[in-house]
Amino acid sequence: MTTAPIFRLLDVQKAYEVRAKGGSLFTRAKRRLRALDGVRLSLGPGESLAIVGESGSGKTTLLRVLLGLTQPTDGRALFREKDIGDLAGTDRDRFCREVAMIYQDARGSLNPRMSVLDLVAEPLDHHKLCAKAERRDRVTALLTRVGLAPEMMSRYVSALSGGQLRRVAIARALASEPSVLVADEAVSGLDVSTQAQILQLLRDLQREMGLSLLFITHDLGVAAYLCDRIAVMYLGRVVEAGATREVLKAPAHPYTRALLNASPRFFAPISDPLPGEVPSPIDLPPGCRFAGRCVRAQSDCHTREPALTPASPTRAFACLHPLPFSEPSAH
Amino acid sequence: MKPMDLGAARASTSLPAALGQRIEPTPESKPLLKIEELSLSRGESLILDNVTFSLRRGGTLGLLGESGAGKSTIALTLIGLLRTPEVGLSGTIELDGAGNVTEAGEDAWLKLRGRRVAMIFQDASAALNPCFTIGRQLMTPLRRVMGLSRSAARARAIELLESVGLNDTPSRLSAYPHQLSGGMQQRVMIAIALSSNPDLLLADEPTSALDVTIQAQIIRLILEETRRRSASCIFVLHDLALASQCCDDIVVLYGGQVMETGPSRIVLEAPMHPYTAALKGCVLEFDTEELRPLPSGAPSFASKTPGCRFAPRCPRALEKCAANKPPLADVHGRKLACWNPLT
Repeated sequence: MTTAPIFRLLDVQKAYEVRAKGGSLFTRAKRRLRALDGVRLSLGPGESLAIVGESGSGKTTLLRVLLGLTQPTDGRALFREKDIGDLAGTDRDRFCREVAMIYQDARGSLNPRMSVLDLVAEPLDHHKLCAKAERRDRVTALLTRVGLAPEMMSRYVSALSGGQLRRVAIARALASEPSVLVADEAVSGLDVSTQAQILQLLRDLQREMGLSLLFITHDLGVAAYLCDRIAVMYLGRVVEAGATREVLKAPAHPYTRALLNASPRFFAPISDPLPGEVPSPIDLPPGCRFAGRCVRAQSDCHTREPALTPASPTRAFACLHPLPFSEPSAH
Repeated sequence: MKPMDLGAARASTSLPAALGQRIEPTPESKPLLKIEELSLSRGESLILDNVTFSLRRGGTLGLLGESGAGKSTIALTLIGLLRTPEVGLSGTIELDGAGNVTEAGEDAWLKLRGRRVAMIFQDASAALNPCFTIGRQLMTPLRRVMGLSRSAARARAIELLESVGLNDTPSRLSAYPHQLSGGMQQRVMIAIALSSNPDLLLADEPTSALDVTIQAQIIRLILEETRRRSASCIFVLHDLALASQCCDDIVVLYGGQVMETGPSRIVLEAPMHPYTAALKGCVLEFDTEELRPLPSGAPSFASKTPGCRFAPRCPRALEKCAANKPPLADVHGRKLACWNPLT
């Protein structure tokens, strides 16, 4: 795509200083916890990108950096080629209007003392997007767009079901006419049938309104359904990125393979899971961070750290001994 | 010999072989658990409506359905935790060796709960007491239920923690729940449930809060440990793909009624009930292009509703579906309650 990306992360690093266990409060050495380490991503207009990884992989820190809630310690996080942390004035207003967020905990993210009308109209009021007289009509249109009856307007959060809440959260996100939707586990904890409805809605919205979508999830099936591109994260690094279908069809990184094997599939035997759990991100050993759990690890994996290198126009991975994957047919 | 039940029928077909070898039950062995026409009412609401299924010794069974289907209600009934005066139970729950426990009093349940029937709860971080160490929470049942001495209980606790895959076990005993990761907390829950060698393990969405790789570890662990002890396990799940991997038999519930039940291979491979088919249509696989979700809706629990509770949402509903409840009948290797099934 030749158009300028909306979001661009250039080798973003986010490190926290923590005190190690043991010793007295004053003598404990400070350790660095690298929550994000050299993350490079871009999201163009109309693109959809899934960020996939287990807990502790840095997905949430990445989100905080993208929303400008946390400053990266190194590297640059850009929104329309300007540093997100330095946005001010009209640029900042524009950022707030263009980037809409759907939170994981829909119930917790909506004020229980506000009616659905006020919740959905709040972004309209804040950005002064419509006249007072139009407010009700705009909310009606938004609610209809997400599949809710306009009568819902007078309800409160406590009277809504899980699926209805997600729809209200989506309507609220759409109210400011954003160009990017950022969603953090927006369908987790729902019944399969409700999840399917919400996923269908998100995909329709993304396609019809030409929105960019950044979807954080741990479910590869959701990523495959919603997003054209995928980035798999492990301990603060992107270990594999590329076109979702290609990556899931033939992953090059052993971690992506392990995630795929662990995802439930009809009648497949339960896979040999990875040994152990994600290690602590404090004071990581040299070499590849996945080496300790990797079935293909060789001696050089413990000394050399692989960088994310493009293997084809649509694929990139960070692994010294990747799995065989087919090159896409040249055209 | 008793009439063939689902558990016995299952033994003759090939197994989903999640873990390869399984214990072969003798065909004439009595099922461990036999539930017949179990109904549970609360005031005017009928929460469970004539639920019937059985489970063989060493078998695994999955209860499937959306929230409000009655899955957890069945699990709580099976461990005797729904015994308040406003709850009306009818039908039979036959647990091998204990007879019909539907009417059992608290005295009888005290001898069963935690001893012959144990439960793994969904949210381990909420089920473990944050004020007590892991060791104390694991050793209390060992001392109370199994009557072990303090030192024997400690030794057994270490053994149990090792068997569920925790390392550095002696020091884990003095850890508090918040010091463990979600996966490790769930392992501790499993160790507590297994501590009394139960015959029946109830696992209520044991992995819904966990990452996929940890989920695979935990499900394998539950299957391995129950198999090693010839125990049976009932999983409460909402993921059909996962159920196909870990359950011999499944029971699909909607609004407290059994819609379809049978060997998971048969039922999930080719669902005949529109509800089972609809649930399967919501499962995302990596090449899913189109989802076919059901319209929204929730079942009515009013005890006066005469027909199939799924009828209002059913794409294949006939006129009689709302008026007459279809009986659970044997069709193509499964039991099915539908007037207009898929073929």
